[in-house]
Amino acid sequence: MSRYESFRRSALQRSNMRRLLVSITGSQKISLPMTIVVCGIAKMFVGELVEKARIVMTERKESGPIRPCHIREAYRRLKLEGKVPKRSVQRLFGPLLMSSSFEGRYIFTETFSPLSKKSCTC
Amino acid sequence: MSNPSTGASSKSKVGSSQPSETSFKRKRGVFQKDLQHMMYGFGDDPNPLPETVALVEDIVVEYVTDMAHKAQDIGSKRGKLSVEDFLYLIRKDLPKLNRCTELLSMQEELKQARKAFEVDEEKLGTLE
Repeated sequence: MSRYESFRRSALQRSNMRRLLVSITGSQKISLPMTIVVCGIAKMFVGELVEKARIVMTERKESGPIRPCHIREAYRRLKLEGKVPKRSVQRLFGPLLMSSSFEGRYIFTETFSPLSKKSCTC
Repeated sequence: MSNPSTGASSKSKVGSSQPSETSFKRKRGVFQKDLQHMMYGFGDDPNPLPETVALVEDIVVEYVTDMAHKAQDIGSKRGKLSVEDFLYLIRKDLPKLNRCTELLSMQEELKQARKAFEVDEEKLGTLE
């Protein structure tokens, strides 16, 4: 029962989220509904991550607390499913494929991200 | 082993002398306590590992950052940033979209209820 209580009552603090949004957008005009919506979206995202990490754990027949390698694998799978917005910033590790006026996004896959590990190293 | 955080986060709590860059001086553990309860609610151990919580926080901040940048791109076309932009971004993800509309309608309902409460208080005040 206490797990359900934690599930219902847990939330990301709106003040912290508002601060984060202000620092990202650089604008002070973050409305209250926007903070609420982003907190809700983030909470559901955490849920997707944790549930997928648990699925990964049962596949590997492990038990106990969730370890970072499970989260990384879960994050990788969510990216493959397209549930994570891809970074539209170009990584300058290759020739620039597009001019600055092109609106579309050729997205370089994040081959250098520390999260994209292929094997569990922990 | 390598630091599990992305390049955008740093551990240093920098003073206010630096000009603000694009959120490169994020403090650690901003959402830590809330995330621990949340992860337990979603299926983790009652006491999640601290490195797991730190990694999840990094991922969530990266997620919110990317979403906010995309929403800003969309919002810049029509003027300023609004809630509609975020709703447009998650339009494909039905559970999230439904949850957000539910949150927004509840927020409206609470606002109306509070306004009605204040009006009643005024009425009581004038009667006495």
